Amino acid sequence: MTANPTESVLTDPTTNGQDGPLLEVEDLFVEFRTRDGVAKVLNGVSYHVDAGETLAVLGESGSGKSVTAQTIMGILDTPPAYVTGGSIRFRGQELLSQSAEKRRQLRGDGIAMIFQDALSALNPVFTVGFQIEEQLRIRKGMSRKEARKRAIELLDLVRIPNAKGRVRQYPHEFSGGMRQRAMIAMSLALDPQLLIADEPTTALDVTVQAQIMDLLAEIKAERQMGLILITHDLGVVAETADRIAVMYAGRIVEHGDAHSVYKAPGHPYTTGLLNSLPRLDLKGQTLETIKGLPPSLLNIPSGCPFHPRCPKAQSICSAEVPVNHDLGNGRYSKCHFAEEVVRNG
Amino acid sequence: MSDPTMAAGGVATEEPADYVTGAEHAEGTKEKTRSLWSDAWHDLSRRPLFVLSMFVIAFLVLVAIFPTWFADANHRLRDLDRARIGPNVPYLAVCMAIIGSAITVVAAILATVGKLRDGVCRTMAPYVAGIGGLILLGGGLVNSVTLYIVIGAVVLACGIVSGVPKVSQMLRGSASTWGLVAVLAVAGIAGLVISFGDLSTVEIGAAFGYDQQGRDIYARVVHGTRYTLLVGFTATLLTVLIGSTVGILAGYFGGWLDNLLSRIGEVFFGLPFVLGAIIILSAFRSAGFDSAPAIVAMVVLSISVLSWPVAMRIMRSAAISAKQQDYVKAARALGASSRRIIFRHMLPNCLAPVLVYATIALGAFIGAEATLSFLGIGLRDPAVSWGVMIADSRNYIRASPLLLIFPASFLTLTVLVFVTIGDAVREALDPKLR
Amino acid sequence: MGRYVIRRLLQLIPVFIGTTFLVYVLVWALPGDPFAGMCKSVCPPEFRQAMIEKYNLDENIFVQYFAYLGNLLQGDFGVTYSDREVGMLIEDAAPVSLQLAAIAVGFEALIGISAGILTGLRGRGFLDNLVLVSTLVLTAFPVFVTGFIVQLVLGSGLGIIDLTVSSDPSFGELLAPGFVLGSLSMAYVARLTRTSIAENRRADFVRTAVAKGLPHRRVVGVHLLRNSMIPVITFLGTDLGSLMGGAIVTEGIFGINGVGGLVFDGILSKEGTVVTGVVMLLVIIFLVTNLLIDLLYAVLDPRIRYE
Repeated sequence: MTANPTESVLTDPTTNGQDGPLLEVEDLFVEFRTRDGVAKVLNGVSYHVDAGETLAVLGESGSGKSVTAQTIMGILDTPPAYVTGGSIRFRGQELLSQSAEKRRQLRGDGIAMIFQDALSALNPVFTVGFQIEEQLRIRKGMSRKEARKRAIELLDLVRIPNAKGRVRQYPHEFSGGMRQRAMIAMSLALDPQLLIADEPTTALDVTVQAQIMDLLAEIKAERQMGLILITHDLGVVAETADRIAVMYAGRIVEHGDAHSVYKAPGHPYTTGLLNSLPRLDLKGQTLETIKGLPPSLLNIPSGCPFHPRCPKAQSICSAEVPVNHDLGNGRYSKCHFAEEVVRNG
Repeated sequence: MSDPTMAAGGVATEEPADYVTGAEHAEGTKEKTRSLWSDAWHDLSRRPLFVLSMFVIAFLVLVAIFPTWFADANHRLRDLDRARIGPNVPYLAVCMAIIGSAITVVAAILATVGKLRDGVCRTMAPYVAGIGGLILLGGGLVNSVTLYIVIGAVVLACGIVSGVPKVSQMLRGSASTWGLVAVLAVAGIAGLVISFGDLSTVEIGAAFGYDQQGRDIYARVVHGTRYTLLVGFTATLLTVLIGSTVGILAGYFGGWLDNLLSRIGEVFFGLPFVLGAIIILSAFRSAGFDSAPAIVAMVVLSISVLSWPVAMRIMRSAAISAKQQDYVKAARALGASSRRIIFRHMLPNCLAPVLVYATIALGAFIGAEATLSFLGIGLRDPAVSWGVMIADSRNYIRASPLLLIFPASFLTLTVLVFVTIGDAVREALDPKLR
Repeated sequence: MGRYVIRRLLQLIPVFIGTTFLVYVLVWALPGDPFAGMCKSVCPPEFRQAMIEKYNLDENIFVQYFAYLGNLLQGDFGVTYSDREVGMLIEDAAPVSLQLAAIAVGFEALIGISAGILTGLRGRGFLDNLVLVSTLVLTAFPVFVTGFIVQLVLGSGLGIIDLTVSSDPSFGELLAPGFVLGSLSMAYVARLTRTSIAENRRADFVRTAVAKGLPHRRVVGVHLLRNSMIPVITFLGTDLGSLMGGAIVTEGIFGINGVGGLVFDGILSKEGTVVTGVVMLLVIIFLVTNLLIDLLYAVLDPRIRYE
């Protein structure tokens, strides 16, 4: 895998090397080869996560958030998906050139993942206990008894009441929130250093969402794990994220610490996302929305991919692909008018 | 999780050449949505096996309607002197060569059209060439005619080579396609010229020989097509009509009506098919129906009576899920009558699974008719079908297996063609498999 | 679970009565002389009288049917015209039919499931196309054509099997007929397995299993197959029930004296008691297997149990 030298790198050069970030994604390119043509799903994605830190990856559906996560996990379906360039380093080690077996060893153990819909992500015909114990028995060589004990501990850890009885139940006997907790328990079984949560609360009620987010934050802090939180819910991000990466059409269009991105977005797309949040203090006004739909990945617009929907688009936007504008303090934006956007909103 | 695939799938319905921005997309200026049906048709017309099968069926239907165009011998004429005389091999070989050559010419034409306009013609050409080559080769082999064998082998080789996906990709639009077309055209025309020349040297008639009662097997096969297809089509039609009417009523109204209709369906479903058909047919046989139409009607009725519960179950579950859809709820909320909801809203949306069942059932029913006739309780004289012929040959299979082989191969081929179509329709209409 | 079983059992009763009544009417009450063709020339009047009395033929059809059903429930299947116990006839014929059906289902499972797994896991390609085409071809052959071909090739051609089996066939002799009987469903099993696996292959829970870092072998062997086999196993069960009575053609071709042959002969020789007796039994078997399959489904798929 050779890195595609088309775009600049997001990662901070000072954190490279032995003491570098826990995970570093650099200039990642992925395409889906379908019957209708090649969909360019990732077009140079770069981000990094440190231990004990939460990175929120924001974006509409189809922006490539989940595909990036699956590429990191090494669970993309090939075909149709192909990694065509870039690099992924975990604790300084390149993953993309590793053997399939080595990458498998890393799954669950080094990097674990939580999926959006726990009902379909858990196997309906096995008990929750079996599905947690399975990894412990196979990966750690535990006996059935030890594994059962550990599974109950894990369910306790994610605060499932009556864990002893619950291990014998099937996923469909759990409520939505409980299922997501069981999913979290399962992902923690092998003590991973990095947890990727792919829209972990989308399928849940608002009150349950908050509980699950709190639980994730707490576990992350306790274990000093890195957490990648994939979401399209800005409310979730505001509370838990240290840093934010906004994705659009398979690239990171804005990146920065959560606080300053919220305060003064550096990309019209981020501005649009924030404006489309309902706000109590502006009650009665029409909610602003981003016009149009995400672009077809078979035919990504020329220049800045956001230009057909951008309220600030100029002629340069359809002609030139914007590069990263350094906004200081580790903030970057891929907008030709980034500085102006930060200043004037 | 699958957002990119969905995004990619979403654009499948747009013109790929056009540049579609999100904004334009939202305004719907270029949106071209296809319905399930036109989408399925689009898909089907691109499947060479489906198109080929449709042509075979069209041909069979033609034979069924006008059997005398294809066989002028009297299929009822008995002559015990010629009982179980084998096939007229030289004539059979020449006939096969003529047919094979003609098909090869068609393949050459298809390849030419496919070269000029990319489409189903291009994908079909290798299949057609393969079939033509096989028939030619077969014609050569039965009578050891070297020329036929050579031409057949060449054509078959062309078909196989051009049918390999990689070669087919290479040939696409390349000049060497013309070479292929030339080979096929020369082989086809040469085959036609040679075999027509040979036609004058052979004795004409009784290509398949005579059966145990001295009747012309070829003529009987041709005339048997009519009853075979008639039973298949009418039994399917009747089964689907009864099944879907009962099914949609049960699914739409639910409650006690659903319960009652479902139990009635189970009563008929509980009878094993062959057993049930035997009992029904032998019961009514003693009631004395002896004319051909009456016999056909009895067979059709007994097949449908035992099969409608399957169609009903399919329709019922489709109707139940359609009933829960918002458009039906909306129509009800707007005060539409039951009749209107059923016909305007539910029926069009429930039709697909039943249609899939119908196409598959057609093949199965043709096989069922043959099975019943084989057991001696299906069709019988004066109605002749391939099943009847197979049943007649039952006692001679060791001495003259050809009595069995001719009708059995036509039967199997016909069922195969229908099953292929059913399979293609199922794949085109079942979104799960796409 | 218990209530579910009872509800299903209660639902069986009207269906059982309906089906058997239908058969009874078709056999006994249709226009035409029930004695036609029964005796060599004309039946002696005393024989007629005895039969009419035994089966209440002068009563209306409902009385006849329920009287018959009453006897049946006490284990009395009646006697044939030649005064043989129908129950005994069935007892003689049933084991070989059951054996035949079991062999057929065995072939279906062995060949069908392996072909289905192989193609379902590999996805599109040459092997997949080969299996799809051969299942199509296999479906296109009516059972009796397959039977004759097997007879011609293995019997007259290669001389591996006898054209017909002996009167008390061994397991080995039943292999060829069992293959023929199972050939149609074999194609269906292969396709069902293939679709089921292909569908589950992309399921979220399989992806989870991969993300857990389980070895490929375990992902496929435990998570994928366990879920995909549910519809296949239930189909095989249903088939076992329907093949018991659906073997008429196969039994006829290979000269096996099974249940199918018994009922077919009964129909041809107008032995009404044999026909009704066997069919009643087959209907019961069919309904009970279906019930058992429903229960098996509930055992295999825990989601069903709690509905």
